[in-house]
Amino acid sequence: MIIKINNKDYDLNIDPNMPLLWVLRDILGLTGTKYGCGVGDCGSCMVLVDSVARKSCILPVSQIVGKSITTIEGLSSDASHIVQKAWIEAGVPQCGYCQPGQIMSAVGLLIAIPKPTDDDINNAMSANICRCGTYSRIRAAIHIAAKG
Amino acid sequence: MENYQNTESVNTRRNFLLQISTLGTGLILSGLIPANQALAQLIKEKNEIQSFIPNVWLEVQSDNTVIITIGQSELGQGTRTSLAMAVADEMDADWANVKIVQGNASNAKYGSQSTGGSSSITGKLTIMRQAGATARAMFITAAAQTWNIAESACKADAGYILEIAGSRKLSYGDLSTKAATLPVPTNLTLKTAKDFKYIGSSKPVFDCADIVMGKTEFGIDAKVTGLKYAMAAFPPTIGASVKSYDDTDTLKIPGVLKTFKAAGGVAVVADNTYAAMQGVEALKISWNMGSNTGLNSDVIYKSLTDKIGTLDSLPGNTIKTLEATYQVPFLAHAPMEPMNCTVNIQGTTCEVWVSSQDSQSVQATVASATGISAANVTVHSCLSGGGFGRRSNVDYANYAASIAKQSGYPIKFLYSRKNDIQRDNSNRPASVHALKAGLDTSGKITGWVHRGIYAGGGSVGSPPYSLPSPKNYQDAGNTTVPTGAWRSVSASQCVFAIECFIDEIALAAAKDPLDFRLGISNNSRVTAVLNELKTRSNWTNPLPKGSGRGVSIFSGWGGYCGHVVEVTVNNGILKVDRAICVVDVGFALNLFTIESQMMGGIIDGLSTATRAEITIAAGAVEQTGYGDFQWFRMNEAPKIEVYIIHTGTSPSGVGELGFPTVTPALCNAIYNAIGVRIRRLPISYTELKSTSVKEEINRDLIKVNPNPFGNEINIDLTNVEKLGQLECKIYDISGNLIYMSSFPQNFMANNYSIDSSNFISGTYILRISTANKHYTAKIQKV
Repeated sequence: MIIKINNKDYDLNIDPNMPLLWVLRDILGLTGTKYGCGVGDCGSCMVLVDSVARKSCILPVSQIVGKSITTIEGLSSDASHIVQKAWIEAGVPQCGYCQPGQIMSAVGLLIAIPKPTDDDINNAMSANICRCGTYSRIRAAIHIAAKG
Repeated sequence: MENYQNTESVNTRRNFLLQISTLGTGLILSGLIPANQALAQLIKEKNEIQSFIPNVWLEVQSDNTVIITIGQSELGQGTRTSLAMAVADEMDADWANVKIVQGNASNAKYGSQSTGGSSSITGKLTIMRQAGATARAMFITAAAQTWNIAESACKADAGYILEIAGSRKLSYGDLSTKAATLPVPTNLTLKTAKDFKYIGSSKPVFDCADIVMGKTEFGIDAKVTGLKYAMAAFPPTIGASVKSYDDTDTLKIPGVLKTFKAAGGVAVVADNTYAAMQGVEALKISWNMGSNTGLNSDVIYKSLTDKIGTLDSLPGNTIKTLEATYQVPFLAHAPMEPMNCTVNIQGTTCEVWVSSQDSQSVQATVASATGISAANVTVHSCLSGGGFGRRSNVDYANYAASIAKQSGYPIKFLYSRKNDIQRDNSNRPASVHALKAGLDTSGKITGWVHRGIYAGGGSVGSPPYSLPSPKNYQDAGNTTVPTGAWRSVSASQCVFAIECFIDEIALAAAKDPLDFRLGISNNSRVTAVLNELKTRSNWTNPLPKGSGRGVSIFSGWGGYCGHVVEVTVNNGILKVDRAICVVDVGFALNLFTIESQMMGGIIDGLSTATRAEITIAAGAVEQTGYGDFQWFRMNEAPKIEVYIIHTGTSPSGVGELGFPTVTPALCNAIYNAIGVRIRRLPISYTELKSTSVKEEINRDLIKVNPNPFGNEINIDLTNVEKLGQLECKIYDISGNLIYMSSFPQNFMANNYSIDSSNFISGTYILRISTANKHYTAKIQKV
């Protein structure tokens, strides 16, 4: 099975039902994508599947064959992606564990809606939980990123 | 393997240094820094970068890099960043050259590394400032000697020593060789506030860029050659144990390597996490279910309410008595990163990667589980994906070490989210709080009684008010469910009860709840926080119908915190519109992380007030994940404002300070909006309807024995429906409310007694309210 992660092809001989999350973390060593719940409740494992934010913990790897996957590691190698820069400007992270997932949701939102309203942000970002309570700063960061 | 820059090389150097120091090479002690932590030495490395290490917290390299080591765990509270600011400020470092690394577990080097109870800044600020001041003093001496001028003719600034009257300057890197030959000073002068550059400023967590790139390694991200992944089937009830098990199906799963009894259940070791998860699901286990299969939440709450007993009588000048019972649930911590630990045993040594609030406890636990001496157990304290008290217990390290030892592999042991919630071994204890207070003719509080009964450890404290000889009692009911510290500990339950009850008293006294608190404040800082809340919230500006405002205040951890919450309740649906926090932290080290902690406290307070709770059925936790243990998300998060007062000289703790008052401010706001008093958490148990018309039952279905009564009213409730929150009110003949009480939750008894020693002789109207009915009777005191 050949899958494409961050513009790189990997030929893997693995259980096609393995959720993408564990392929990324345990097989490919891409640990920026986090395990939070494993059942699609929390959004810590969010990745982009052809530019749409999806929860990798409930996404069997076989379903992404032929698609292009972007993980947090694929946004930039120097924190230069506009959303990463906005996150730094707003000082969003506390513990930081949920933030890769939050950022991937935000990237997906901004691809779909470049100038999101607060309601758009509520709709797109409510798939993600932050136990540290950084929501105000996430909202601020998305507005910063949208301004470019 | 480490998740921080340079740690490995730093530690290698340190070990080398410690070795040579025992030979007496250049070891000089500072009186202000514990003897075993003071080393001034220079070492040479292959790459010719030299390091000046005046103490265990600090290393200055000849290329001007300043490496600050933090011993406490980072859980998102910003401790590493904030303590490094203190070191950098006192040594006048250039923040751009500062690198922050995490110290591995070592009591000898760092003292206690236990990170909890909001103690990191309060406990470590002074020594970290001293660590920086030591380096500054030594650089000044080094420059003065180099230039052959007086030390007083030199000053430190942003990584340089400058000649005050001239143009010469030397960088710390330039001076490091010379500084390392100098004695460590014993008299240190710390800066005064006017000279602070970083202390009291505002800095986000230093590793923000790494976090947003997914580069930061949490414990769960540990990478070890040959690593295998383990998970466990845990006992299905509290106290169950494995009778026997069949792993035939488990071993058929590709990637599963072995199974064995461990972690109180059965462990599955596999090549990857997915295989381990599937392996656990496929186990067929026969359990001894243990003695708790009859345990459920009702049994536990009954054990708590049964211990309330009779509350003390109030003083003779009491003309109005209020009693209320509040109920608070168990809570799991549910940090985003589930419990995990990675253990690599190599002969007589062992390396551990862990997200923990107590790396030294991990070290001792792993040593005990593996039989390897603690000195040979290296614990890398990784960034933790939240803690909130959960990670002070290190059960996961014990299991990981046992499984690594039994399996013979390097092991990453992981709790599933379901395990993490169901196996939280330090839940916030559920509790019941019975409160009683009286008012005199002028509306002043005459007496205060609070009995808090916990399903575990817990204490009852007094609020920051002038109360006449408050009587606080604590006791424990059924303690079967494992409990421990949860953000703000006992204040998380007590302050809800106390601050809602204060609101009830204020309203009974016909006073504005905020003004009433100002009137009984026992401290100028409490008064200042309340006044700031009043201003910031536009307290006196009326809100639209269906909206309300509530206030609450608390003192603890050396600080003061209050909230005003605004809500709208529409057709029973609660919306939190705005949350305002005013916090007096005394002395502020890092304003940014203080604000962060207050924001987090608000989200935690709202989440646990509205929905989140742990319930018990058939001896087990019922909740399974974030789907049924629900936290606020973006769409519910209100507008948050945080105002920080920091005019004092000593810092308060802040991690816990921002939680306790959120819930009572919210519940008081709901009352203000629709007149529904919340006495049981989470709020979801209470129907938020303001206009429930109840049937009036005026026939004497309630009886008082005897009637006329004396110093006790015994009410016979045989004919009263036991539905909803039962309330009792007693009015005098003129219609003034003189007694009010809420019954314990799920009250089913047919008798209820009231202390009536404060009642003067005469006729009263007794009114019992239930979900659907008001029962009224005329009663008489002799």
